[in-house]
Amino acid sequence: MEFSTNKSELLRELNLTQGVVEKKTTIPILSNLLLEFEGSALRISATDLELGLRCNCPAKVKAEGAGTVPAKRLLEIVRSLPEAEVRFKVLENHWVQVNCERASFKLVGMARDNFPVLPAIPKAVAALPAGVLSALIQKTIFAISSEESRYTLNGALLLLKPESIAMVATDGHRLALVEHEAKVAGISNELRALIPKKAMGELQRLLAETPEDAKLDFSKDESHLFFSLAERVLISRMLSGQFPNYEAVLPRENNRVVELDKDSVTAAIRRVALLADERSRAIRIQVEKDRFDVFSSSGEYGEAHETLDAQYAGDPLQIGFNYQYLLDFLSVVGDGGKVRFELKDEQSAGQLRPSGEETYRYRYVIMPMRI
Amino acid sequence: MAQSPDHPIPQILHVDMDAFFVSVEELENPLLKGKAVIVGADPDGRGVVAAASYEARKYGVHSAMPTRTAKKLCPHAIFLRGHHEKYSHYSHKIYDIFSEFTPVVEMVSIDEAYLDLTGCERLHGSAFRAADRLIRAIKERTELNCSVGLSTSHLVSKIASDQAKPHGLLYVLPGYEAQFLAPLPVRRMPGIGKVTEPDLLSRGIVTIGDLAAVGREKLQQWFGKYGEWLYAKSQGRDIEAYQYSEEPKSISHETTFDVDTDNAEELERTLSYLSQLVAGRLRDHRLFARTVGLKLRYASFRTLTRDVTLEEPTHLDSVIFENILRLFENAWNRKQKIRLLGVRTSNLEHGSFQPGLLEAPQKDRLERVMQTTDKLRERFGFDAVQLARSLEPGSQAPPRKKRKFLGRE
Repeated sequence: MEFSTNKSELLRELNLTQGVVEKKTTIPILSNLLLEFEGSALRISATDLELGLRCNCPAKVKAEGAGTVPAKRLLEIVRSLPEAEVRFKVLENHWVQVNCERASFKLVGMARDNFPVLPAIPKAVAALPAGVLSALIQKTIFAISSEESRYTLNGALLLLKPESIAMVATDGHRLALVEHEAKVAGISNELRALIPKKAMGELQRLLAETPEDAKLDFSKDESHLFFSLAERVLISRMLSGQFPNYEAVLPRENNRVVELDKDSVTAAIRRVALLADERSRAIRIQVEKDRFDVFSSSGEYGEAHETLDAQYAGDPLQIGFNYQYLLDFLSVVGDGGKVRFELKDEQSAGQLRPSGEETYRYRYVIMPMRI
Repeated sequence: MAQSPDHPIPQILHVDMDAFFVSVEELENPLLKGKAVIVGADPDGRGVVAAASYEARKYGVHSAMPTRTAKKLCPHAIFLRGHHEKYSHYSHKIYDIFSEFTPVVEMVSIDEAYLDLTGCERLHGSAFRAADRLIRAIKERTELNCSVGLSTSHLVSKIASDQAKPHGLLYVLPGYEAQFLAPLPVRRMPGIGKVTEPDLLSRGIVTIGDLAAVGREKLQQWFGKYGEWLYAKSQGRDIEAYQYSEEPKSISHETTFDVDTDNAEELERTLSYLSQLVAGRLRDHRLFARTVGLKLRYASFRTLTRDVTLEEPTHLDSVIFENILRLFENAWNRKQKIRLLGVRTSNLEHGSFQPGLLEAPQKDRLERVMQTTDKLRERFGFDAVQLARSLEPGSQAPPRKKRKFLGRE
């Protein structure tokens, strides 16, 4: 039971597993990685029971076998090693020996039988373009709720249609919806899947290691979602429950449209937010002919105001927003260019979207604050 | 005190309608004139007197007295249950007249207001003449009598209008405030009640003049901050920037049943009704409540209170009612009869708060419904529009008969 592998390749895979390994677990085996070596590869598995990740790494296998080792220790050890071949050997009592050049480590392991069995991957239902999926995640993940009581909002909804792929997330105060038109191979009807926030984050890490034009195989069984990218597969428990009817909250009559330079409005909101009330994070926006004003005031520290040029021809309007919600959107909407604020009145949800972006139909809906 | 344009002498008018509810009833039914009339709860039940005519007052009847006691004192009195919508109609009329005199009108209740006439001399001549004209205008246009106190402070004007009753005007000249208050018993001072009065009496302080004579230092020693307040009041000064900016810290309504009950439907109806009253007042004040509380008193007088803090502050009847009902269902043991129920909202905010997006379409509809409701109620009275839960089964009309008149707030 012995194999060797290249340090940097191993380190890259170990890095990917760290987010999945349970940190504060009461089940010790979940802090370990499962190492399985057979044929010409090392297979590394990690899970916290909600999420599982399996990676592969080329290896020279002398004698097939498997073992489990503490994930964090192994990462720290491998990270400290010189660029050289790393040799593994499973000892008695499940200990694992790691050698590299003249360094040697013996790690306390646990029996591989204790490691949870990850579900088998069913046949792929769709092939998703990696670059698109990554963009979808980036444009929605921040709007997912972290409030555990609203568990159906603890994830984003992936919507696959024959001609489009879309993702929606909301925390109950704002909603991000992004659609991309593309033929999705394998989809003949609409397919919906609720992906937990943590899975979205881990998926994003995997996608960052993948060329944009690569395809990701997506599949699901009754309770799991599977994302396969070349030699890696991420398995997530599916969120049960009904995602809210998001279409009902998409504004339809927001006729007061202000067009602004994205970078200027972002900078202005950042500045004015410095004196916003810290608890509510409220800022006030006032639009009038070709003018966009941002105000804040904090009982403790004072007040701030900035005026921006804008394209606007409608009636004047004042509206309050949580500045963090605005900045969340503005920081992912894309470089440069213009954004549109589409408003109705001070009580109705406002819609923000990039002006003229065509690759992605991106809309961000925010409920105004009462101020 | 010299008058300068920068610091004009304050001219505060306190207007109090004379036996308001009874007078309005008399307008509608002139036969009641000159008779002992009592507006309030059922005299055989357990509520209180909301208003009594001057005839009835001769027998010692006064508002807030249990109607049963009133009936004993004045058995020949005519008891009326009251018509709140009529009273608010007249109250609005009176408010309109007030507004012609000054923009600073503060209605402290349905039949009582402070008017700030400071600096209005050019407009109306002296404040005294303006007060006289106001009394005449109200009489001419509503046929109702009122009494007016005029002085440099809210406190003195309030006491003066009371002294002027009925249908009088009392002007306390600037500089004579303390002198005017001095002979009055301490109890007449708003803010001195059941607790402080005996304490003061035991120290030999009987009149407001005695209070002034004790001096600020002594009062401070005895009562701390409150002592300072007492001293300022004894001089006829308002200490706090009066109620203009003062906002309610909580808004509540409660009702005592005529007969103790364990009828779940009646209890629910009552909670629904009280929730609506509370929500209506929240909207009047443009406030939102974050905390909703239930008060429950059993026949045994054991009293419970239960609170819930909402994720999103509200001023909607249905939201308050939903929460109250949940509290009630958990609190009531279902074995004992209930004497009193109350709905209280606190943690009031003007709200910079974040309303929910997903509930927005539904909330929006509710908001519009409530706006319309408020308008209808303004015109036709509170009972004109009701939550269905407030209605008695099988009835088309709101449960006016059963509902105890809530009287002055």
